[in-house]
Amino acid sequence: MIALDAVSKTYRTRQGGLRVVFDRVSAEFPGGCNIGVLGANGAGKSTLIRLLAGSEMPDRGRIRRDGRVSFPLGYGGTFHGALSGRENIAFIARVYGADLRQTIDDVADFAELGSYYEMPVNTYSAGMRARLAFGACLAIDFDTYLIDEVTEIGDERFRRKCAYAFRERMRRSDIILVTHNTRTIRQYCERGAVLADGELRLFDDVASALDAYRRSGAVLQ
Amino acid sequence: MMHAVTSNGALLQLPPVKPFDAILARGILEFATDVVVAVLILAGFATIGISAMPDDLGGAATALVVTAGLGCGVGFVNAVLQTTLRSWDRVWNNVTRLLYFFSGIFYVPGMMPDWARDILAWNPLLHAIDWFRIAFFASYEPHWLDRRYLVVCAVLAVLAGLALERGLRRRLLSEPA
Repeated sequence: MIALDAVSKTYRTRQGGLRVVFDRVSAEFPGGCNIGVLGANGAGKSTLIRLLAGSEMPDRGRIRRDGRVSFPLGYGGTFHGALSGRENIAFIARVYGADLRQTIDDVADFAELGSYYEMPVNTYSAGMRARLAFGACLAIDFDTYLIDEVTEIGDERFRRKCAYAFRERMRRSDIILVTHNTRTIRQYCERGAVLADGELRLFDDVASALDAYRRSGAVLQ
Repeated sequence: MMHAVTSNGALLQLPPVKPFDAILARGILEFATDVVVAVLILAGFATIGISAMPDDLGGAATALVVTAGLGCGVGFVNAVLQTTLRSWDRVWNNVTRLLYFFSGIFYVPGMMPDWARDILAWNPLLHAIDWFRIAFFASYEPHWLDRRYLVVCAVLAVLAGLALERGLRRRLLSEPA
């Protein structure tokens, strides 16, 4: 369970203006179900995920979390570019108190980076980084996984492998996923939410969320 | 320490890692580096037969630790300020360059006119350096040395740094737009 209590978040733009992403948003992501959050580009989907994770703090308001919540799994890396994949994984394992050997081996198996596992992350392609991030996230037991629109990575085979791994994990963990892809949300989630104009509305099922998203003028993919 | 937060964006994406951790880790790293360098220099002198060990090893070590405390406090302040004022590093580096002349490194305070020393004694680093210096030269007697002043400055700097981190914590964990 993750609950937002009157959360506000504003960014200062480079031009000196202010951009209000959230204005006193209260919402509760209940445990025990997978939730997909729909939102157009720039609606604040990535900000939401970072706030839920705690990678970022709201300007005002509180966020409460029950259980272990993952780091945001997305395009923005949590990796240090000068360190190798293995070293980065070792660091993450230590931060979360996971078994070092086991985690390093699990990620090596899952990410299939071969000899690149020993190379600096700077030398990786975007797809390789994403594979490493997925591996890291899955190797550590989180109660809630936060995913930022990256289910469309890699080739078909790797996508299937990810989907399978997440399905397996979803038996005991929940995922919160932000996306603007309706196929992804149908595939993974039982409940939906719509993020638009600084407001977050939760729905009991995906269909009504898609409906509301469509009525808000969004072009569905 | 100044860039501990601004240059560690990826690290801080891991929610368990807080800006406080990144700043403190950088402080410890700086201190450890300086200690290793000092040991290497002393060992180097010892192998070529020059006696460079301080007479009062404990005094030198205490001076170093207190000075590191001052540095750590100022480092915290700077790391936090750097996140809000993007040019702060340039300002700070240029202003503190003057401290090379005002801290009694090249111009020993004992050789200064009294009026100049009375003014420069407000600079805590002057006390830090003379505290360290007397551990090497027993005959050097700086009557102006006020150890308590340096300790108070170090404690205040640490408190200011921690207070600033606490006060601006929400801003520290925020991606610039």
